[in-house]
Amino acid sequence: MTTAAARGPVALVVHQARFDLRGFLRNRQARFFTLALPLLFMVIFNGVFGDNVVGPGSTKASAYYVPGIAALGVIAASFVNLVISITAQREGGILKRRRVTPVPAGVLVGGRTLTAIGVSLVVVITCDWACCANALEPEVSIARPMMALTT
Amino acid sequence: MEAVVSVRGLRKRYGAVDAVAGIDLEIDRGEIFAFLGPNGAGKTTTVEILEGFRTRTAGEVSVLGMDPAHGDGPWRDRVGAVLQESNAEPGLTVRESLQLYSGYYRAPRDIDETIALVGLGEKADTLAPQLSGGQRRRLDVALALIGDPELIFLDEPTTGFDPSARRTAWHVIEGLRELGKTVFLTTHYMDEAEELADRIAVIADGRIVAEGTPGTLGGRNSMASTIRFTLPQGTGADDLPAELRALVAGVDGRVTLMTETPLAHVGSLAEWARGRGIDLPDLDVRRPTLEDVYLELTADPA
Repeated sequence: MTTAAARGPVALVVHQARFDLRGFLRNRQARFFTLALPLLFMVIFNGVFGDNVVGPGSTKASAYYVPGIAALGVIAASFVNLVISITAQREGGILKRRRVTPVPAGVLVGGRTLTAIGVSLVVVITCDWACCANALEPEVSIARPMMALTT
Repeated sequence: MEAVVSVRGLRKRYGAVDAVAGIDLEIDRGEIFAFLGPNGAGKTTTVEILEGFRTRTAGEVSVLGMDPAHGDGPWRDRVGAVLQESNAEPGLTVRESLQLYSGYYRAPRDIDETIALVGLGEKADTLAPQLSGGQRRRLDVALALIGDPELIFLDEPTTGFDPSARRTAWHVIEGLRELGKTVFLTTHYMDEAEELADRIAVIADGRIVAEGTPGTLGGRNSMASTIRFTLPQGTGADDLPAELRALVAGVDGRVTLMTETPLAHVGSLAEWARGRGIDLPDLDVRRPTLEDVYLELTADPA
């Protein structure tokens, strides 16, 4: 069996991201704040203000909220989660233990980036889908490129 | 024998203090080398320089033919380390942790075989943070082994273990010897060094104060043994034959004799006691333990 290290840096980043993602998905806190909270906000805000009309283009509030809340999920996935877990890994000596191994530091950064991108995409797509299923707003299509950009 | 680790005049200065004040070391392939010393003696500083974590102030260091300060990927492929403190990988099971780490190496060991080697077979699918302290340490050893290194650093691998967990850890380290690995072990437990090591160096205040095998360290093989016994009521140390009286080092409930020829003196003691019709039921003869030697070596000159 050839190892990820033998197949080159890209394979190694993917290898690292697979395990980072698994660790992330097993972390209840990270799951809640990244995946559940944005959805919860969507449901609450749309439930309360969903029928209001916002701005000059008379956009429905339910659509208007989508990018903002999706961005919240993206921030949780890429910044909050990153800061907390990297700090814990450093304090716990995990980063140091990895430094003894041949894995280059760039691969660890790459693995985290890939994980954050993956999770962010899931959050954005879910928010988008939740909104479409609910409000059926054509304006959402305007929000999509913006969300993609945030990601 | 080929030297795996070679150190000449290693020095590490922090401010005005020399944490490591010029040490020389030579470790051969396949050897288990114990680096013994009290807390703060410079053990971990030395190990971390050898692992490439710290820079040194002066001296020459070669580990597997390379200066660890410039250790690259291929060099790290050949070195494994159990650090003094490191948490488990969060959210990963034992097997997954090993899968992750094995991907870092070009020619790793078999994962299941490594798990079995450290005795975690039944825990392979347990989340690593849920393991007990001793099991987690064994996982650390497994993670250090997964790359199939030639040289393994173990920095106080059993600190905080209960006695049975320590025995198990010792078995694992003994297993490394059978695999032909070179092991650099730091510890402050004498019995651990005595049990495991082929060679011991004692460090105190940044200097190596003694070096040798567990049997000969610090002249232990030629140090005086102690003979101790309690005399029955009505018999005093003054009643001993002159030859033994000269050896009396203390009479404190029990009589203590210090001798470099314990067998001869126990013989004459037995003869004397039989002649008087008394028995010495608590007689014991003791060689200086490694701990005695160690305490003497690392004692403050004050």
